[in-house]
Amino acid sequence: MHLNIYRWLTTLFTILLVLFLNGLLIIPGVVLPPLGKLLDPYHGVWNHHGSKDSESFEKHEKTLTESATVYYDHKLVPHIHAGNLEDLMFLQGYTEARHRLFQMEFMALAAAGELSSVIGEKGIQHDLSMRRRGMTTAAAKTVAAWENMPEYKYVQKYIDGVNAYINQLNYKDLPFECKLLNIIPEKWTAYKSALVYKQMALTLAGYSDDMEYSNLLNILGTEKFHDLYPETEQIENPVVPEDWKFDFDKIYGKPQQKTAYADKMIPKSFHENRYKGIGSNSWSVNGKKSASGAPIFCNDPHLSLSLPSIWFELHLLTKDFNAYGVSFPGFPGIMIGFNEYIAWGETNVCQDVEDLFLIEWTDQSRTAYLLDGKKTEAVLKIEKIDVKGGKTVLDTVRYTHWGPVVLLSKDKKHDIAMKWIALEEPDMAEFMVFVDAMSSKNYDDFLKSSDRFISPAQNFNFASKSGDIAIRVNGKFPVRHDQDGRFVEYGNNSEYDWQGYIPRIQNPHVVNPDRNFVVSANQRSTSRDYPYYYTGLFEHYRNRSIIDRLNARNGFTVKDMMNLQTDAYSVKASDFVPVLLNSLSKFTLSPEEIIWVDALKKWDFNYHKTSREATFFDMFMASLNEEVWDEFTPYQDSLDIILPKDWRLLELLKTQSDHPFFDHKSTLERENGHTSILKAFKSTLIKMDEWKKSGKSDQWSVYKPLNILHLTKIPALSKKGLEAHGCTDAINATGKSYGPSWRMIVHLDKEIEAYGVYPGGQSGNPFSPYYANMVGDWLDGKYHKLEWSRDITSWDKKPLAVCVFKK
Amino acid sequence: MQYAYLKNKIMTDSLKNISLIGITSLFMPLFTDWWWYIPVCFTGAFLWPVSGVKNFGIAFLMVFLIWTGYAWYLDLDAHMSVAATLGEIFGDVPPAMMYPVSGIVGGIPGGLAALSGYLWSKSRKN
Repeated sequence: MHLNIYRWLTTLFTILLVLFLNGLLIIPGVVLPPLGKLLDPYHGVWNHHGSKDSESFEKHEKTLTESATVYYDHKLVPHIHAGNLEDLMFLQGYTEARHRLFQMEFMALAAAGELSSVIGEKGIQHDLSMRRRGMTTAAAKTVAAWENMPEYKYVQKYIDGVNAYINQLNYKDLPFECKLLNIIPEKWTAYKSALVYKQMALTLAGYSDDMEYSNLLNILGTEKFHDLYPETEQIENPVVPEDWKFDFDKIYGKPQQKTAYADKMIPKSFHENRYKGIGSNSWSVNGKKSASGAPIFCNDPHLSLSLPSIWFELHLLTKDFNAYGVSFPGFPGIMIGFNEYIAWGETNVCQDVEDLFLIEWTDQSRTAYLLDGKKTEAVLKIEKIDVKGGKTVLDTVRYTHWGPVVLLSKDKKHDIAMKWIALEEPDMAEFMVFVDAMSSKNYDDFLKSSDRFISPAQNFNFASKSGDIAIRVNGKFPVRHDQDGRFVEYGNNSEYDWQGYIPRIQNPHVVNPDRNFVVSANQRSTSRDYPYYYTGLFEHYRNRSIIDRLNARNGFTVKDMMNLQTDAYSVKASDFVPVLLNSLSKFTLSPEEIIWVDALKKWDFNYHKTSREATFFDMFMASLNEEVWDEFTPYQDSLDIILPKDWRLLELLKTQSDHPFFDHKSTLERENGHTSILKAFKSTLIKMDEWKKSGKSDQWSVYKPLNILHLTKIPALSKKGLEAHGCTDAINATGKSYGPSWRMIVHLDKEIEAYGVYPGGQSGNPFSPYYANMVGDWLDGKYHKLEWSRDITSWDKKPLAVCVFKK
Repeated sequence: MQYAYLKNKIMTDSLKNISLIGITSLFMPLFTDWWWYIPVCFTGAFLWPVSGVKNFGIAFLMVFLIWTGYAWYLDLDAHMSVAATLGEIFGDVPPAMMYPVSGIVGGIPGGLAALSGYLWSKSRKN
């Protein structure tokens, strides 16, 4: 009897244990990888030693119309030689999947708000945010539009290539992270490519300061608000030079009545995609500025750095063109690159294309809202969020005239809906912009291909071998009234809506300017003469650094451009330090304080990784902001607000030292700009002492080290505590976990020479020698020559692998 | 006489179990999933039952040694980086421990499968 029970019990327990170790039995609340599958040495993670990355092979691929070959160079960059564009797209998809499948899958999951299904409860907040943003609805609408476009066949070929790789995989071949998180990659689809693209839009154009500015407007009142938060500063170097004339008639939509802004405080939101460290530099000089007489093109997009890297370097060739650059895995074409005739790249425009509207519900069921005095039904969509090891979460996303409701209030009467350009249905084949760029031969070709670009709006920088340089603020921009888009607006009147879009031909645009260079570094697009109102989160310092250097002289070489791209000089520090020192000179200082004053006097304003002055200045600025903007402290826990920009603080320090905001509310005495600086200085000395007492060096790179995190944030797969030069407002804009994600320089001489580097590696396999092999060179400001010749025998080093695809 | 016979049978049956797991480990993983050894351990113990403890022990030890040894061998090629990474992911487990941890994860279900096989065999004979 006992034996009978034991045999059943033991067998049942064995089966349950095997199911658990296989990941098929999930214990509520326990999020563990499938340990049996994972640690099995025959199929599991022990097989990821990385040599597979560079294996040569030969295979038959019926989909191809002609045989093709992929040569890998010593960095594991694939050089894909295909007979035609369709075959090339297929092989781009295949190759990107081969090296970056987990990244592609994870990005699609993240954009779709499905992270909880693989990482458990930790992903719920993110997933709710994505679902409420309408990412899945937008991706589905996008695909529906794409499918009706004749060029869709190229996207389909790319998808076929990804799936050709996925279909031949067995568990042993899956990426390490897929095994760890128990993700079995499903078939790649256009929907996933659209999600990946929407994710890029979210990163670059999925933010606004509407809530913050609305709160500030309500706290400060109109006069004080505009005093502290002016939209333009005294020094401006817009993307399109100030002397550029806009000789066109402004086009408006239907007459619009003045928008009303929300007069309510907006509580802290769950918005997680805040704009931080995102930006880019790009410039081109023409032959009059270069030593060789040929244009030099430079681009370095600053993004959140990750492993595997955001970018995938590749060389795509057919009989008709020869293009090299970086792609965004999951999406066809080359986003930043060059061919035998031209070079192209982008920086973020940073205009606000995401507006928030206050919805007034008719009752607490939140099913109908008031619009134009009428009760209007919202479209409700139930979102089901599967949670690994937890209960499924159901959420209702409400779609209004404006877009999805992204922020729910506690009173259930007023919520916030979002209108975002990336949720609009595309009316053009936007996916072809970076495919057609590869075969463009001149500026007209490039304009034609880039005309289809919608979102996220980018400054398209261009240079050609024929000597042209140009820049265009490219994308779709709404027509607005002055100040619209800056605040949360009332959503009860459809006339507050965008009044159409600025015609593409009227987008700011300059070709071969008199100053012989074009520059964009996320600064304002135009001077105030531009007829259309726009707002955004513009950068104020990097553009000045670049423009000052390019204006200063001629005769630039590739080496000069490398030095410029990796320059750690801070214009902000050079603006502030003389003002700070001038104020401090009015007071009697202790010997220890004088040591730091002298150090700042001698500082060259470079954020070199060993600089102590950079650390001191950084702490000084933080202390000064705390000292001056104490009026905002009571609101910071309950409301989203932002402090005035540093450039405005500097203007006030220089011109209005007795501004009421310099007075510290908690003291009896009346502070001014000079005393605020003195207090901040003393406070900085205390902070420096505390830092040193912690036993850490006060060198800049130790104080603010750089971290390149794995997409999953798993520390073991990340590179942490890296020592980097630069800071947010230096040309080499490095920060806590962001920086130049791809540095590229193209010298468009008779024989084009090009250089590039990015902080990562070509392989997505954490155990591959090519996973993070370029990080060191990137930190040191070194570049790699980009091997773009058709003839592989001309390469400096022999190919690492040759993969032959026979039709 | 009977004692010697029994001792010999235990030795022989134990060796048969060891051989079955050892030999199948050379080709079964090529065709099946990670749990290839579960039916093998069960079948061995069912056909050649020794004792509950011994059948469990033989299967556990065989799978433990195969998994630990092969994991270590594969990681040599990766300069022990897989063990180091896994150790960090699992909460600062020393890298060298990750090989026997793998062995234990594989060995326990193997041992339990063998124990089940033994119990089914015994209940059939009873």
